[in-house]
Amino acid sequence: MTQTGPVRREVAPQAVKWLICFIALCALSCVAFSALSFEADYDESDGLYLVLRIRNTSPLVYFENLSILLPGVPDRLEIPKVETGGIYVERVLVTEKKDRYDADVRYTFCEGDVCLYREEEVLIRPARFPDWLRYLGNGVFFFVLGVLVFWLWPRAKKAFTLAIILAALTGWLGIRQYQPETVRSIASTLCISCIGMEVVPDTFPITADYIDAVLELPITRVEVFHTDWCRSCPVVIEFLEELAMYCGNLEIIVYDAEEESRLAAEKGVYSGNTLVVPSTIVGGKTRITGAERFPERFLKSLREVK
Amino acid sequence: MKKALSRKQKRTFWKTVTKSAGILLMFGGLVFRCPMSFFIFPGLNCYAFPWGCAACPMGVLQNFLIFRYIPFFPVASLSVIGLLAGRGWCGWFCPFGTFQDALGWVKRRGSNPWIKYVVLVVALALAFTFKDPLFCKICPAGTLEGTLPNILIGIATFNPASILHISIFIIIVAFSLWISRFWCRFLCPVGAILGLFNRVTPLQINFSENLCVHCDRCSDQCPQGLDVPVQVNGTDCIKCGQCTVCSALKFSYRITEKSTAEKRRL
Repeated sequence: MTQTGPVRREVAPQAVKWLICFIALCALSCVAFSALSFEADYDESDGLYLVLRIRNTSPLVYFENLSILLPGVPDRLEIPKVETGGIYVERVLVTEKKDRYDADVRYTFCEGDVCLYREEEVLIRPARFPDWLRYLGNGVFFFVLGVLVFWLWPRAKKAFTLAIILAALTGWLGIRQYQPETVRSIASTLCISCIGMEVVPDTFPITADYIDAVLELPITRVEVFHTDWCRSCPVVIEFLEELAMYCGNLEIIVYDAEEESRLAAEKGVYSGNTLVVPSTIVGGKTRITGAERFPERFLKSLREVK
Repeated sequence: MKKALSRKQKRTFWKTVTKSAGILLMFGGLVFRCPMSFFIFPGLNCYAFPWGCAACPMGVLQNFLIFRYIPFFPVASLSVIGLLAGRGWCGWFCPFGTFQDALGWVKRRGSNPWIKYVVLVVALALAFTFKDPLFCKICPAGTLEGTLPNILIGIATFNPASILHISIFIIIVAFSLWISRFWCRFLCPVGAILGLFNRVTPLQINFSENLCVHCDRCSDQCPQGLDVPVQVNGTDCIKCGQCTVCSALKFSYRITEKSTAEKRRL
């Protein structure tokens, strides 16, 4: 039987166009920004060296006056030029092995005669797996993706297949930049002022009465857990450090909660699955979370500990 | 003798199962003892929830923009989530959607596809410029799963910020009692992202025009207030299946398209 009446044609709906634009923009931005790639490895044959391989993956741009500051290394690494497609290897003498280096990287990148200056923070991580395993992993990933796409292309909607390709590529780029771990660290740390549970002033004033009240109390150890991106932590730390200048009976210790996560777990800074910052532990016993009305609560718990 | 279940009963059964799975995942740290993971929750679920084990897509996107990272991994995860079921996650999984369903007895017509895109863009732009996740401070899911539990366990206190958070939540709840799924229909930015994948995902509600008798029963059932024959599978459709009251509307999950031979037979 032949079909009568108007044939309903599937017109590419608006949503598909938006979707393609959305993912294409993401893909475009990765081409523009991920041109400079850093790989790191340790070489222990003659003292402990960090071997840094700097690679320019872009076919268009080259880099000039590249300067890298690694934490724990006194001097900046200066590299005059990284050519298009070039690899530059640098060996740095380090004292201890680290999981991650938050490097401060500055460079000028040029395309033809046009140059732009840029400063960025780059996460450099020494490789955990040998090179061949990583190449094998990448190979398997792209092989599976290729087979899937080859199978899907004639059978499924074109937009669906394209979206799978783009999602896989963006995901691969994200995993290469250790973004899953960033996601985990964002999600596992509860910064109380970030979620809209408190309002924090810029500073807490310290009055003479307050200092007198603190001075009456015995020597107390105060531990503060913070993260470098938390908003209310600096206010709390500033207040405590200023107070410690006047009050000799306070011993203030500041920990980075993300780096010292095991210690944080021992001290009970976690509530459930989340690490609550800022957490102030007074005398190893009571915990003050957040910065809301901090001076009052701090004095109250100091008295309780006594 | 075993009684065969009707289509509606089957759907209700499976929906209860998947919605419970969503709530269980929200309580992941308590139920499965899983630590906080890099897994992105397919729905709006606050990671300030003390026992959570998956990250909120909006919170992660905002924080990535604050740190000036390009959100490759969050976008890829959202794409995979969207490609699996589109906004089906809203209707079948999202705990905040379940909460809205529990409130939404009054079904009203009318939806607006673009307000939530404005919310999404404005939220991300504000986070980028002010370096602060401002959307989290007004998000009602954040109140339900973040502020209220944290006040209960004594981490947060009542103060202007949390009172603002709670009052916005109360406003949203009031609107949801008046208009079913108010938040999902007009404002949810995660729904906006997943809505982009609604036409592409294999989970589709097929509408056959030939079988439709224009009785409008489907549109009366829709919690999103859509004009079902026109807007089904659009960016606002949450694929909850309430509209599959007659044989003109049917669920399908097909990755591959029908071959021409099959189409001719139909």
